Amino acid sequence: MAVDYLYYLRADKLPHMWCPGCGVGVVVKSMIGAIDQLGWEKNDTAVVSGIGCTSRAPGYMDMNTLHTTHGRALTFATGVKMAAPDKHVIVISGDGDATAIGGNHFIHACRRNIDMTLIIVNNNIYGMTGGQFSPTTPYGAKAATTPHGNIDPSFDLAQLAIGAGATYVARGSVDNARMVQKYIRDGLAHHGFSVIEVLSNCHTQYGRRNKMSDPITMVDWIASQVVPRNKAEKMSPEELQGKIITGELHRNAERPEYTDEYRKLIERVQAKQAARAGARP
Amino acid sequence: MSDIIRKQSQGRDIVIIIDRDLCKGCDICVKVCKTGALELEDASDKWEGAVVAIKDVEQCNFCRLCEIQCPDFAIRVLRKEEEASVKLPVETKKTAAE
Ligand SMILES: Cc1ncc(C[n+]2csc(CCOP(=O)(O)OP(=O)(O)O)c2C)c(N)n1
Ligand code: SF4
Ligand code: SF4
Ligand code: SF4
Ligand SMILES: [Mg+2]
Repeated sequence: MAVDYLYYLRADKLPHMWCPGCGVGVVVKSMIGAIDQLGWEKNDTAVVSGIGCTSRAPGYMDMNTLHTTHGRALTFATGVKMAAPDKHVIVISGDGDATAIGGNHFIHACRRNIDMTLIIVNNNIYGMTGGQFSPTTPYGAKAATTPHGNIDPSFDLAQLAIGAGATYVARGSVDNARMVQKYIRDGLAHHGFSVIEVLSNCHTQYGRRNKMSDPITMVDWIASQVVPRNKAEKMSPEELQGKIITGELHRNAERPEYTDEYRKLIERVQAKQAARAGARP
Repeated sequence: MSDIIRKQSQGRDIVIIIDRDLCKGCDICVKVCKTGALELEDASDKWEGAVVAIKDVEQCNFCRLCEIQCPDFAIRVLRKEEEASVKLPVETKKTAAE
């Protein structure tokens, strides 16, 4: 059955603020499709964000939403999840929000393995503030703050998430929204900290400085770089030069989840205190 | 109030619906459509100056790629029986005002 997107949206706020063709809208749509597939109730679901174009997403969602401070979405979301561990918590972040100012929160949320899903819309730039380079701006690319080309090596967000301890990690790209929806759904269903990186187009701030000022050209550029994991496994290192591997990249069901650990800790301490109270004469 | 275009296939169970107030004329749906069912048309009354139009609903093969790749929730491709279960912005706005 067709997804009733507008059921999940504050339709009176539409059209949204994103530029024509911006990938953020595609990711939000995929996220709604995933929530719908899982049958999650709007009242049981919270969507949390920081600051940035991507982070404007919760403002359009008719759910429990929090639009917080730049880089800190995961901390607010951790608070929500600890207070209401039976509810679903989703964080949507930009590459700058999640891995520049928010990089420390990012690695520690991965390390704790708290049952939330982080969706990173990686458009390789600070879109909202005028195109400053981010930790994922490719080497050599032009940004407002790298007018002669970027000399910083860039982060591999998915590998960073895996290294820091996230237990479900996938990467998709906006040219293939069906797969993005699948990864988000699997990430939401996973019990633990899941990270879905989505390669996305900011043609307005990144593209126009790098000869891709319209969405079609920039989405085609993204599509030309991605290689699905099963195909990549059959390719040589030379063939994989300059390519970005998409797919489910990591899954670990063994590591304990943080709110489970916290509940067990409370039970343990309460039992100890009760025993002590009972032993008192 | 709202500016909705709806076209239904003569022989097949396919309905295409476009919300011209949500469409930003980005051209993504036109480019992903393999059958040439859609086209962009000038719309000087709209902020972006162009919106998508249904060139020929009979060309549509119901792949739904246009709907899935549209960043603006502006185009829907549905079976007739699905129409009742899917809200359009006009209906949502009505409910909000009531
Ligand atoms: C503490 C703080 N520092 C800086 C800013 C300015 N600022 C707002 S959004 C942003 C970066 C946004 O980039 P990204 O997270 O990649 O989101 P995008 O707009 O690309 O989706 C910055 C630096 C801020 N709002 N707050
Ligand atoms: S500036 Fe970039 S990220 Fe922001 S809405 Fe426009 S295209 Fe999207
Ligand atoms: S993809 Fe959506 S916003 Fe873009 S032209 Fe098509 S209907 Fe309009
Ligand atoms: S459903 Fe497929 S064939 Fe039909 S208009 Fe959309 S993209 Fe074209
Ligand atoms: Mg960004």
